[in-house]
Amino acid sequence: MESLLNFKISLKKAVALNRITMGLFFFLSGIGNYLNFNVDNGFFHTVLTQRLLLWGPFPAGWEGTPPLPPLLAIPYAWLLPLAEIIVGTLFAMGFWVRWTGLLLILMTFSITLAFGIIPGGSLFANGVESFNKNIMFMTLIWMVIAYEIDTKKARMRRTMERLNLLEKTIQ
Amino acid sequence: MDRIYPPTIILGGGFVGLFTALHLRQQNYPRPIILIEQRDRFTFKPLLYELLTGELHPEQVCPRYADLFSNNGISFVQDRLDRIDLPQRLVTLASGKDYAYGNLVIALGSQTTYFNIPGAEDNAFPFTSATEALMLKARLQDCLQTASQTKDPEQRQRLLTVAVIGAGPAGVELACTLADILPVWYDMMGGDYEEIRVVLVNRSESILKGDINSRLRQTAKKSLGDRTVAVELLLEAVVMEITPTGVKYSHKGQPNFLPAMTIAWTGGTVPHPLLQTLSPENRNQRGQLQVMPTLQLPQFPEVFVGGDCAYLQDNPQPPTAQVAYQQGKAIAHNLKALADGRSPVPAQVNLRGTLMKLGIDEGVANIFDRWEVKGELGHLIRHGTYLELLPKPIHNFKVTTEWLKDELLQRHQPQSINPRQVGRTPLVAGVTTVAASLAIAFPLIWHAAQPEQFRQQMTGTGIPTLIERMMPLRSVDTQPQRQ
Repeated sequence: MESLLNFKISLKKAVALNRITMGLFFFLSGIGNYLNFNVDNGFFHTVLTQRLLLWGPFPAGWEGTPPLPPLLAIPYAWLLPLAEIIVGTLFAMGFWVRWTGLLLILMTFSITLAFGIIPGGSLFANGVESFNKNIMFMTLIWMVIAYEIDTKKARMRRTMERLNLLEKTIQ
Repeated sequence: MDRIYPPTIILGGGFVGLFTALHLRQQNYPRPIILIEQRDRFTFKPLLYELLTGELHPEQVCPRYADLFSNNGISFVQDRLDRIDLPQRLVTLASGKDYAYGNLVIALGSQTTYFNIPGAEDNAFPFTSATEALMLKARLQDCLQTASQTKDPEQRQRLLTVAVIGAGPAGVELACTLADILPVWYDMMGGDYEEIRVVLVNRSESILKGDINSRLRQTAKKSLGDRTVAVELLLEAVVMEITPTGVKYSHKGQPNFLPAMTIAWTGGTVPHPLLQTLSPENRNQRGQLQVMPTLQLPQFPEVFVGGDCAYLQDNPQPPTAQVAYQQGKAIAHNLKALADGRSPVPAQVNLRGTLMKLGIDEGVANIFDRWEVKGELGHLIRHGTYLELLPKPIHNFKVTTEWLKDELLQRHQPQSINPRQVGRTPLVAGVTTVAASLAIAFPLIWHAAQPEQFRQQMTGTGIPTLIERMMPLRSVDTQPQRQ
């Protein structure tokens, strides 16, 4: 028990693992979306025809919001997988985490709106997705960004860079 | 034949004095100009924090008067002022030289006062000039170095504690700056930066009390807590004595002691003591000379007074750089008017807001007292504004471009460092990753857009087969419908 309590849990490693997993997920999503681009009910078809669910299933008698106009939907369909591949890779590698993370959150937010926050119509598990898991993706990405920005060491590193002190440390 | 006029003498090379001289020269002022100042360099006081941290170099913050006045006809005399004889229109310097004047500008600024607190003058570090800033820096680095080799925790804590006396704008800015830079220095020396304490000691119950920046109190308070090491506030603490090892103070009547090997003093200033010898009937409680709206002395209209030495009864001005700059310009304008036989006009001073440094790369700009811009943008506004106020366009241009290069091109970032050590993306690595991602995405996009063409062209590579195998769904083999 004592050894378990003394077990060193590295927040840095946990955040890094989470960041790599997230980035990899988006990278693979991007590839998958291009692979399934033109198949029946594939990505392109979905983007062009998907009615935005926003919150959840449409109430009876309402057909929901119309799909995105082609002017927006076509560029979105072609660029989203590319953005997923590039930004996902950069995020996983820990490059420009603040900005790539922000882009990933925006992309995930658009997907969440498309498929609804509560796709199954109930917050209680009932055989369909009760809660859009993309929301947790967004909060996890946010945590990675916050960790990157807010740790004191990160601030000090920024200060050292700013003042050109790192060279002296390394020497 | 041209008449020879006695010179216009400017006493003090601070903001008012320097900008009066430079504006006079800019306006082709016909009379000789002599600026008398004890120091050989102008000190841009709002940027002393940047000098302390190394964000700016001494040459940027403290240009030499000799350089500022080169080839523009302004005579610079480096000497200490001994006496001013207003009725005789004569100033006497410590070297014994006398100067008769036609017009006089009194811009002697203010001096640090320690309110007769025992030990303050001997043991505390003031922060009003480049020399003082560099002395404080040397002391801090010495303490940190000693602390990094000290085993005794109590002694180490004393070495790592910095007390900043006075929570006016200078105290708040200095405390914020120290709370960001000291951890960096100490970390570089191998110490545990979390042991550092920065304590802001103030007599009253709140920071920035009665100051033009008081509106920024909440922002400043939050920033003090958000630094790399949070600044501790010791309010309602009356400093009784400053010893070489700490501060004796009284808190709500109870005597106490704060152990600290470095004590920075921003507790207060008084106008130059020489003002006490002048015009006793026209001084306020602080000792400032009461002036007319044109910034002339009522009994001696040939004498102008500005900055910390002047007091406008109907429209008191805060002791800030922007006020001093505008007063210098107004005095120059009025001196030129007198030389041209015109009447001087009241000095117009427009307050455009306030600026504060709240840590490294963090600041707040209170624009026109309406809009508060915080964080990095606030820092950029503050820095940009002050750089634009730097004397003489060429110096201003040089420093501004150097700073912009540092900010925009991240010139401070060494090229040889390991990215993992700094946590910042090196451009080459980032761009290479983007290129690699594009290389992966390109065949996929081609395949999605022109499947037949892709298959024909790339058959030899085996990629089409690989993609087909990876596809879980049946391909339509048609181009995506474009509308």
